[in-house]
Amino acid sequence: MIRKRKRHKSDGEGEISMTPMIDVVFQLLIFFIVTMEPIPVLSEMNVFRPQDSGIPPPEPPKMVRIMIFQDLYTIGIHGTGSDKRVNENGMEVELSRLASISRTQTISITSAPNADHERLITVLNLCAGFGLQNIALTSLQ
Amino acid sequence: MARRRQNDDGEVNMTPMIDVVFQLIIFFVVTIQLDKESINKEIKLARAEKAQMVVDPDPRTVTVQVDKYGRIFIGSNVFNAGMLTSFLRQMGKETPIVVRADATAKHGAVQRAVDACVAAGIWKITFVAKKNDDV
Repeated sequence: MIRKRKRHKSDGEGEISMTPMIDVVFQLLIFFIVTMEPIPVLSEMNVFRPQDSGIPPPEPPKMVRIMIFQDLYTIGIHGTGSDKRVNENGMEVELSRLASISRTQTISITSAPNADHERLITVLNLCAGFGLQNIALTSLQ
Repeated sequence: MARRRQNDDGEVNMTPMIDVVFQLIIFFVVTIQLDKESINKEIKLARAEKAQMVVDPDPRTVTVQVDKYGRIFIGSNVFNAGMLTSFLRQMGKETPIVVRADATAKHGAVQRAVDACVAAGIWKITFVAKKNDDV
């Protein structure tokens, strides 16, 4: 008895050729891989800005004042005239000492117009690291 | 006589690979961000690894960008201090403001942007920095 063997056509009617679709899908994948950019992780630092920059805010007399210049920082008690010149490491030490006394104290930060913005961020970063949240940003006239 | 399997002649089964590729496509489509053009990529942020991370940003937030030349942007539009004040007054005093300034920008330019915010009645300002150096 002759066995009839059914022939299965590989590309019969009704079947879709997958090759072009696979090509398009791989092209899309390559496009997305090439255009994907890593998302930067951002940090934020809140400050409040007194409305009248020329008039010091009515805060307790022992408000800490930080001045930022292009090549140095100064830190001291507002109104006493005893500001101390420090570098970044010195600023970190002073803020650490301040944070050990009180973290709710108001810190007034004033930056010179010709100082890089990075220096302000450095000070704000140090304040954030020590939990000093009450920061006022004033401007030099 | 045993029936021969269809895949015994060395051909690779494409179906699982196509499934994986489609899943990758879906992943990229879902995670792609289309609002990147509102951020000025030339602005290189300063680093602040100790500050708190930005999570769940307020959708009302207006991002004021200051590039290294001291120009003030919102999106791709350049503003001067007066225009910025007028624009922020229309947005309202409760609008969260984020200042995104280049690390090498002079504070004078940043101060102009901040003063414009204050003139519009907004006194609470957030500075943004990058938390790591990956970007």
